[in-house]
Amino acid sequence: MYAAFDNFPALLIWLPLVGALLSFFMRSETAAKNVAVLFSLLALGVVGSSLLYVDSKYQALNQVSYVWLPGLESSFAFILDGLTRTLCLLTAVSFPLIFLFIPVGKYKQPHVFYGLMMLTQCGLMGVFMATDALVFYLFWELALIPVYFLSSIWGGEKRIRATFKFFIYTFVGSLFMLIGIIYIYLKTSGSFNLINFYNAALTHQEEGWLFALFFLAFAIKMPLFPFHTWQPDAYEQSPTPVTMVLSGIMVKMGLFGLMRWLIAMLPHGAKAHQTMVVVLAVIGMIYASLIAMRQDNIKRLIAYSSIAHIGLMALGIFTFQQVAVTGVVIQMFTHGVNVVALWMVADLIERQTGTLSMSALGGIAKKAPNLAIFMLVFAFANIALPLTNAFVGEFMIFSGVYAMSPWWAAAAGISIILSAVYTLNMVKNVFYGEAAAAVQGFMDIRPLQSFVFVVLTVLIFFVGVYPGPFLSMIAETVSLIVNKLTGI
Amino acid sequence: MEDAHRLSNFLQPVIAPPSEVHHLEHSVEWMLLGAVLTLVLVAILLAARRYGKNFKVENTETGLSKLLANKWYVDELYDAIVVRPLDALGAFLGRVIDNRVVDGVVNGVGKAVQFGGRQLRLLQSGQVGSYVLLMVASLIAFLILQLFWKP
Repeated sequence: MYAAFDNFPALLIWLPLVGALLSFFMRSETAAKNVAVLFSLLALGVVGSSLLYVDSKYQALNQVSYVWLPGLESSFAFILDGLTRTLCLLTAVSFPLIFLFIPVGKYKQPHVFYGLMMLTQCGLMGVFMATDALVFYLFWELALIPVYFLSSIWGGEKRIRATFKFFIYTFVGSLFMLIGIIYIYLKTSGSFNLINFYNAALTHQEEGWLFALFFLAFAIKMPLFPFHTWQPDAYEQSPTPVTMVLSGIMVKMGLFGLMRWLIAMLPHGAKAHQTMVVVLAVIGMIYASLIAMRQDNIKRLIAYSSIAHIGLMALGIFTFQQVAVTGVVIQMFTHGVNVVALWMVADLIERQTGTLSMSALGGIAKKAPNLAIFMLVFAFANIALPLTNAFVGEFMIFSGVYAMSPWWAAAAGISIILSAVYTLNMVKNVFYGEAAAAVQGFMDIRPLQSFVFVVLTVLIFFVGVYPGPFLSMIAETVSLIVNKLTGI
Repeated sequence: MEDAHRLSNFLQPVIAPPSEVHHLEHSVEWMLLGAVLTLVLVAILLAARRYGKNFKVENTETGLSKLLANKWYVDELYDAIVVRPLDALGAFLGRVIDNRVVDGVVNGVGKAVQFGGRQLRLLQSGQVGSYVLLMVASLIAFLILQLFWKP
């Protein structure tokens, strides 16, 4: 495979990969970090400029295919459409911000750290853009492997156990998916191409159990109740930049998989299992919210809050309604932004106080008023207050869920109330009240951190106030997916 | 300007355009206004008489005034029927269901595999005699199956 760099998808694969290789060979930490920041900013520039070329007449710029395994009819085929553009934008925005946020001297062997992070970015871009099932699987694993090393080398005390569990769990899931991919491949005219997969000759019964194989892989990745128990441990034990990637972007692989590689590919299977998924999603939302209320550790609280939000998105997808699925795509972007922002605040607190236990914290607002203001914005976005980004997505999801069944909408609504309870409770316990012993000498945020927070805040309000461009960008791809489910 | 109407319909895919807006009759509006004003005036007069010059603070901690002083005990009621049960439920789900049951099943799968591996390992004893014994036993079992078991 040789490169032609005249299209966006190829650049989005190559830039992080080259950045990763260069970072590996850097001697000093600043050099490695600068390389990582530079290449992730270049990737952001590529995604940014691709936003100007969404029209179908620029198809050649947004689509690429190189033959990979001629005998198997598998090729490195990538596409940049409304759905993938949103997720690639999320990936491209998050990585430079995360890199800028990492303090110098925090991680030993920084060149390996930054290299592995860039490799993860390459894997994520590939997963989102792939239109070839085998390549999709390849990048699915490529995104997982660097994270395994990142967490088990730089993680917390119980990192080996938590990371091993995470790896085995997700790997088992993806092996089931591989079985499904091979089965469908044998039912096509002999090609791994997405279109051939969509048109594979499958009976309804086959679709039913193939659904289970793919769903397991995606449900573990998201994670959906009851496949979520790897997640709080992994989030807690991974180094925070990795946690940001895991919860902000990697979990979207599962939701993305549901849309492109499941409900559109196996519409009869999806219809047959609709009730099961809806029940799991709603149970998971309320269940995780209730547990989040009782967490003392901020990282675990955000982890369970994330499970609840992911449950809502899975629910939205399985309404099979245009408005809800569009809402899910926009929510995938906004949840990524919001959860990365929350992790950053948590990381700042842990760096300065050495603890994330809410019972040992309190009164940070007095010592660090600027941080408190940003935290309040991020907390409001997590609750999905109007004018914040999450409101748009949640509103659209809920209107779709309501159209499906008011009862499910009411049940899911409970988790929205609970999210306000635990989020505001955390803000109150950590930021207000008397300054606790641990926060004496707490310093407010520095300029670079402020810059990162301002970017995140602008994203929160921009999407919250003016979601129009996003919605029109997403609409076409979503209707292609949803139309496969209507009338069957 | 082609963008002039962007702001008015920026949420358009989400929110449908408003249908007809209802208007009240003018006479109804005046009547409502008058009623409200009268009520306000009556309240001001009553308050001035009650809490005016010769007002003394009385003990309010009895009967209705105690109920009112405690805001109808609404906070306590919420606490008892909503907050505390939900807290307890959350603690139970987190400690028992999530840690023991859901995670227990996941870890149980891993443990079962490890246990199975440990037990099956014992078969590989390296003693040829036991291998032959197993082989003969299996042969007999298959023979019986072949001869007597008809599906």
